[in-house]
Amino acid sequence: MSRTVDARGSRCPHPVIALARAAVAAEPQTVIELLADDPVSLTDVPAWCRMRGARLQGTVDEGDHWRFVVVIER
Amino acid sequence: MSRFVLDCAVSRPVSGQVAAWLTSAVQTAWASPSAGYHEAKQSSLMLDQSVATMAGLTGARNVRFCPDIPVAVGEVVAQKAPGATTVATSVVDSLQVQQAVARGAAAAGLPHRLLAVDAAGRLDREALDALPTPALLVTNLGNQEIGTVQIDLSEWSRSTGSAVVLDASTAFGWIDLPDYWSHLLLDARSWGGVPGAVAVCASQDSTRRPTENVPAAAVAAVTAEQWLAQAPGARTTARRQLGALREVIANGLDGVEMRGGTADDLPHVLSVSVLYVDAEALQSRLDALGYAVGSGSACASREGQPSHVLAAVGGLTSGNLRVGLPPDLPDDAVTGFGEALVDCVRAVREQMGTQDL
Repeated sequence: MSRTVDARGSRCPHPVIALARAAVAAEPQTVIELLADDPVSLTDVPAWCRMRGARLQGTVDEGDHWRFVVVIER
Repeated sequence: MSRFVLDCAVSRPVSGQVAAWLTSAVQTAWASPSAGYHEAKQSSLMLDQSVATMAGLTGARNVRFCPDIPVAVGEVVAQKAPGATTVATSVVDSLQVQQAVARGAAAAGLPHRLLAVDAAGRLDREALDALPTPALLVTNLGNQEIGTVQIDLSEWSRSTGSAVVLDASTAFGWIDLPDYWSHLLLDARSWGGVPGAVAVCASQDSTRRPTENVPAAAVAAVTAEQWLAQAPGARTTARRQLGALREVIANGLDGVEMRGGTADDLPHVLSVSVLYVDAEALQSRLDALGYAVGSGSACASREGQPSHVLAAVGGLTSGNLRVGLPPDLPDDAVTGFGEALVDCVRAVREQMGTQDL
């Protein structure tokens, strides 16, 4: 299972909120790809993963935004 | 409505008594201490007394006063750089210290390093060991945002012949001073003095042009003496109050990360980050209820940048509040703040539709 959440154009705390909304409905092991262009996401997405028991599999610099690959573990 | 300022890690409100001291000091010591007439000698005498007081309180051999931290850092780096191969500071030091260190190193023609920290925000041992020595290290004793206390640098300083310049403003009085520093930087605003007096306390003799701002220096010395007399009791009180505050927040809210307030930290500094809230909305609601608190979130900062300290330690920067307790709050004001914080977070989450996340 994989899905993409597009949070480009929104600022902190909204990218993390969009990620959390997607995670609420997700089955364990779902992969969520979050697209965000707010630099604060570089700090807050890893922090959210740590606080919420998710795994950040990778952060990809796509030029004008970042793609965070998050695995929901619970 | 009562008003409580809980943003006292860097500067405290100036009391009426301190304002009266300043008025008196300005009238006595308005003249430049270096001029050659009677009024100037009064200034000079008042400055000498302030220097002696600060030296007595810190154990320094020599004290001078600078108008602010950047000037103090610049002067110390210029003075100590000839004995060093590198000038360094850490990623969690204040931005004004980082910038002053970079400028000072460039002026001295020396390389400049920004050292990494561990997850708690203390200097990373490996980063320190990789630093070319003898070095000149400018760093904080207690962190102004997350309250962590610096590692003991005495062995490193001795074995490498390096000099440590400690910015001890936030920690002063709240913990015992170590003895390994070559210089201590103490901004009087952090203990209720007035802006314009940073005491630069040196472990060795040195001579410098005296400050022109004698009234601020005099107030710095008098308030420092008063604060240190009060500090032992304040430490115990603040530890108890922050412990209770942590408990109110932890019991009342889900999705919270707190830094500071443990037995290893400064007794009075706490950083609280809350998921799914807008920090600016949270800060405004608390302000309206009579609580002044700082924030390290990008949306609540004038520069639009998140806290570099939280970013360096991997902390959550959104929904962040910074608490720095003053020494004279009643216990129920602190727990009242905790309860107000819990209520405000719930209200903001409901407003944003994030209460069920």
